[in-house]
Amino acid sequence: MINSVISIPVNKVAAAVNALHTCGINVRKGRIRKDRYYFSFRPEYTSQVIKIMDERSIGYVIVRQGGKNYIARAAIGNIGAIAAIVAVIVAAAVCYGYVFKVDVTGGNETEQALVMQIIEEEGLNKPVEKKKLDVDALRTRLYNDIPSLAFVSVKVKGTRLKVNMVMQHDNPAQPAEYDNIYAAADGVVTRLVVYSGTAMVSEGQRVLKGDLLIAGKRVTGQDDKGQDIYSPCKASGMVEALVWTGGRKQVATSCVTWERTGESVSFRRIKAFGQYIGKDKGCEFSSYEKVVREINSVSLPPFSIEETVYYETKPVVKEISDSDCAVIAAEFDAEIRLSVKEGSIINNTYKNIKRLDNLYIIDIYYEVYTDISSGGE
Amino acid sequence: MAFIDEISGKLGLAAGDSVCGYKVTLYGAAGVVAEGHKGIYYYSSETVKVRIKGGLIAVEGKNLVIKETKPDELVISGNVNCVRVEET
Repeated sequence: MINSVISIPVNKVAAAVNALHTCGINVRKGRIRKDRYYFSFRPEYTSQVIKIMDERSIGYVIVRQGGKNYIARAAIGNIGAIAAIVAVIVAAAVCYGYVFKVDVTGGNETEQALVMQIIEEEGLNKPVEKKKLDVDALRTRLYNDIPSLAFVSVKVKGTRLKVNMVMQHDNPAQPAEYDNIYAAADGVVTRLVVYSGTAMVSEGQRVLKGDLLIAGKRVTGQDDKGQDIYSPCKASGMVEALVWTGGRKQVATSCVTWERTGESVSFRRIKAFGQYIGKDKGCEFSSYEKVVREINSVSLPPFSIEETVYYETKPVVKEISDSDCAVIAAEFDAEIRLSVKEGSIINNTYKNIKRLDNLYIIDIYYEVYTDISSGGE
Repeated sequence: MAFIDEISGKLGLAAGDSVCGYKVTLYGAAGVVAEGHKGIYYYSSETVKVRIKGGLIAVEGKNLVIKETKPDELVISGNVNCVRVEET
């Protein structure tokens, strides 16, 4: 409740307080400011107090009129702010019924990309009403489509769908079964383990890609002539071989790269409910590099500000130095390492960079012990 | 609780009705509460005179302000130097 406040001259305090006391009106928070006495009283007595002051010819000033009038006046004075607050609350309430963004955590980039792909297939990359969002179905699909997923938490928090994954990387490998097992690469067999079927090669034997390593048959007995009798079965086993992997890369001693000139054009746009407000203004550069980044984001309501920057670029002929070539060789090396099967043991490496007149030749080879068994598809 | 207050409480009497009809409580030099008053006789920032049954209470000091009034109570705040009863 807001009390009314009036001020009177100090020399009229006794008369005013006595009059109010006679009428049963309590004075509150009395204080003096520059020869005037200010006091508060309950807002319902405002008209009565004014009448008393008028009857006794006490010069008064209404500093604040409390009660419903005060609230009504305050409401009218701040109608714009109240309307804005109401609009924000309504917008927030409406937005709260939708999911606008998906956050994926856990796992590596590939696994996260896979989850995002599934989410896009489910149509959740666009704003979705929470009522129509089937979290259990999404969770089931993630478990079904990602075998290495040990646990996944799918929760709606505010206007965001949060997916948190825990991957099962130490999954014990089950021996695969095929009709026949063939060599996946050229090499020399160093170890042979047969779980099911008949071995067609022996340790130390050189094999070529596509050779039959383990046949899908087993001996079940002998005929009258002493020949083995085979019956078909699934082939299963592990054939480790010493193989060579790698390659050659040729790099020109000069190349054209695009570099930024320092000129740039930028502008900002608001992204609301997944839609941009305003158009992409573009740029007048003949060649450019476009960079879009989010500079501010709020979850509720889901507005974000994105900045688009166009950088002017120009072609630059760059001479490749020996150090640049070493960097390219390191990248090439990393590519080849990725092609080495997981679980393989590197036995030896060969790296050579040779410079010709207008060319670098990079040779990188790895000698690795790896499992070469495959189903032959 | 003082003996007079205890007897007044048990008899269901307000402080102002008991014994002498009024009660003045001095809170150090910071203020005065007068119960059972009959109105204000005189007010200035140095002196406040309050009507009581059979006389006046004069509160003297500096920056005296009538802080609050209730049907039976009057609160005066400020630097109180003296509280005196004047019989008429």
